[in-house]
Amino acid sequence: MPVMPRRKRKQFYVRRKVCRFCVDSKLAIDYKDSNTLRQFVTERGKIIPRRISGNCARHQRRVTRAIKQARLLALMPYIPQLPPT
Amino acid sequence: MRRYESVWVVNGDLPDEEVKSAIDKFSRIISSADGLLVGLDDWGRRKLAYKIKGTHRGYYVLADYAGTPATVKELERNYRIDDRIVRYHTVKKSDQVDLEALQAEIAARAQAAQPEPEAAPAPAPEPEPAPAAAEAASTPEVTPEAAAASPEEAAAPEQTPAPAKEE
Ligand SMILES: [Zn+2]
Repeated sequence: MPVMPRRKRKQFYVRRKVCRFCVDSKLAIDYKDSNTLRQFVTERGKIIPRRISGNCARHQRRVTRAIKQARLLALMPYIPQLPPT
Repeated sequence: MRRYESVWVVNGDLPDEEVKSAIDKFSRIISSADGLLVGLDDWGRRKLAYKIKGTHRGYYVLADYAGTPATVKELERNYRIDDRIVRYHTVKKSDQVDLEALQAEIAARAQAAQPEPEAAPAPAPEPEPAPAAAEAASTPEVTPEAAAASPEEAAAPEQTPAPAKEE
């Protein structure tokens, strides 16, 4: 039988991601750097939650704030510009 | 004095001279309101992520300066009056400035601006390394009370939103 026993699958979890800002202290969070911030929003411009991005709480707060500041300056969108359908 | 940086977004549909005169005007306001302009970083015209005041284009300028809360207050009063400014954002970079270090930085900036030939890749790394004092609390700790004298705003955005008005 090629069917895998269920137990085994359950035990295999995705490794917890580590906060990339903690790992690399040179990596800055800056509202002016929309290219870096863009990694933390979805295609629809929504901020990616911490449980997915893997950011620690402190850095997630800073990322969130920076994204909001960038939005204010129209460097990033509040809502996506979707192609006309 | 404190160290600030402000991003000015000038309406990108305006002709270059208009943009230039707006930038000059606000640079002068900094000096006339007890501020000290360290440098301007011109980002040029960019596409706005959304429409503001009927335009999709903005001319971005980053102003780096030292000043007092009154300087910022006077600037912000003028942003609101001036139609050419579409958005602005002010962040306090440090609470204290070392005037000597600042003068040295201004001189260094002026020098860097002169010799055109090699200055090509310079603009980005230039401003950061110089001042020990200014570096202390800099980027990650974008501090509240951007001196807009409105403590209740401290909650999340320490900046002051532009007088939006995007009908
Ligand atoms: Zn972290």
